[in-house]
Amino acid sequence: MVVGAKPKPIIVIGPPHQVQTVNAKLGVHTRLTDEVEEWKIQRTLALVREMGAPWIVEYFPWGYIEPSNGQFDWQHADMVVDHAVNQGLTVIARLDFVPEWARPKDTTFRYLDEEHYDQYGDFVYAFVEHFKGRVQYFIIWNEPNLSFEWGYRPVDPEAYTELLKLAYRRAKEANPDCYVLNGGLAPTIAREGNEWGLSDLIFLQRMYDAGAKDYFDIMGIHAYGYVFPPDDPPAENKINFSRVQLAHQVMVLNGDGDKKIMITEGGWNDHPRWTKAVRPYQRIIYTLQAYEMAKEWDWCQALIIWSFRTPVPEKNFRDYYTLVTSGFIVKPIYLAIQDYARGATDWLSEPVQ
Amino acid sequence: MDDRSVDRRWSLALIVVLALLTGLASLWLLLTPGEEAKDETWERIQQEGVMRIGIDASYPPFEDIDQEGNLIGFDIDLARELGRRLGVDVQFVVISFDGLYDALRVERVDLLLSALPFDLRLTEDVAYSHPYFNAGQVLAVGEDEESIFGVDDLEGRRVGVEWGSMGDVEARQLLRRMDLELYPYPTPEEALTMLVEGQVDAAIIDVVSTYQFIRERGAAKIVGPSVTDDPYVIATRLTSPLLMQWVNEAILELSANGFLDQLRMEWF
Repeated sequence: MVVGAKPKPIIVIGPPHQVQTVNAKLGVHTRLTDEVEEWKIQRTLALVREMGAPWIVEYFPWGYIEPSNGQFDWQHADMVVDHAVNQGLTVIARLDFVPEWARPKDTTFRYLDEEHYDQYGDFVYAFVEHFKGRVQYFIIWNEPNLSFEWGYRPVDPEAYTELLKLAYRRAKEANPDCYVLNGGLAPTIAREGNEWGLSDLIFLQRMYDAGAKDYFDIMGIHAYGYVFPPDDPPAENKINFSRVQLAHQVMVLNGDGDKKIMITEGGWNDHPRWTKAVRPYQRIIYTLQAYEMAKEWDWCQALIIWSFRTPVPEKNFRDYYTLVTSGFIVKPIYLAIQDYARGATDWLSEPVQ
Repeated sequence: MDDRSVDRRWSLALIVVLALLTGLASLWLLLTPGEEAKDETWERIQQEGVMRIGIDASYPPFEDIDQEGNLIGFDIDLARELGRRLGVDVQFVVISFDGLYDALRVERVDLLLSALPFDLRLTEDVAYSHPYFNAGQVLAVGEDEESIFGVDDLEGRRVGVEWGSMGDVEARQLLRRMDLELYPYPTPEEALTMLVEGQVDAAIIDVVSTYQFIRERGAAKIVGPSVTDDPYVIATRLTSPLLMQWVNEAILELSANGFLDQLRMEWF
């Protein structure tokens, strides 16, 4: 028998950190859901902090945490949250992904019928209660105005609003001081009857019509720029970054203009050949301009861009949204954001030789 | 050695590797005991005379839609050549990239040919062909340059990159192990223009932009192995071994007979 001291853990949380930044609205999606190794989780969150972003959105799949009804596994979620909090980051938790036990056979993990809303509500309650004191912001579902995100069914703003109301009540039961965000609406110009989705602006209006106003504390929306600069003027039939201003107008029209907006996904892609991408230098400049615009918009609480890093390369255009490679090599855009967050003022200029 | 010699050298090496792989795969199919390989997709293509190909037409010059609404590009021509060789019609099914693999899985298409990078994570879900193009970053030098043969020769050199690109990332990694001067430019064209004007000694740029520049401006060449690899492949279902075997043999032949080089010169 070998006798000895219990081995020390390889990864330790360490003393708490704080984020230093000139723009308190900086945020990034961290996507640690499928990151297995703890040191990589810690390294990712340390790099976010060192970049100067105080906000992160992280995805906590219901199906991972409650694989069978009433049986919770908090280990991975705790690990992510504890490291994030230690780095001084504010976590916004996105809650969706229906476990198999809560949906009919042969449906996707985005499919939740009304019969199972209560189970989702129970999960929201359990999650908010479990993370009381560590997580205060919760996103209810993701892009419910897309058919794919609604289990390949026609989108249904009224049904989603019912889900939001229930989740809001359960979250507040668990922690009255928490903030509930609606599922970030996807920017799309799809009209009524389109099989793939529905315009974010129409969807939002129908949410208000269904009585959603008192059931979210902060408006969640996604703002992708595609090939347009951030100051490209918004238009109802155009998808660009400033489209988010139209969503704010819908809120104002519904007497909800004092409520804050969080852009919980957004940004630009610099794939060399994708027709919806820009050149890498444009992505850098547009991203910094967008952070500046968010800073000026008093109704915008945070701009959380997509995305920081993925555990493994996705081997497609999505790799060109990231700031850091899967192997932790920081891209020039990361360094540019870091410079900006540290107060650099020469970021608007293109490289000149 | 000019760039065409280098191209030929690498093409030959690629052909040898592909031939070996195809030979081994064929041998495996022949020697595997038991029932003859079945492939319903292969049978259906032959019976109906139609091969359905999934693409996302938003990656020029590989696939795009022209002003008249026609599908055009390297992959489109390659797909049509495959159809011609097999004696079947090609039916393109345009799908966004996110839906390509699902479309293959639910048998809406027979194969994917869409600037599709090889993805190790998916090799238990789909079958991948031999690569037909490597879309990674390459090292470009002036056409008269005779002392730079690869990134190891960049010590003390001036290296141009597209600011923020993966070539820029690679060059910054090189900076950790050698002393070089890094010059970022807003676009690949500007970096390569600086190269041919002698403002930098080498440039690390994506291969498609480099080929396009060389075709239009000349005065530069690609040297050494690719700085990064991004092999494009064709995907079929795992249950389509005969179709995949045929695709692999076709790629081998199209590489050997110069068709792939011809396509490349036509499109970039």
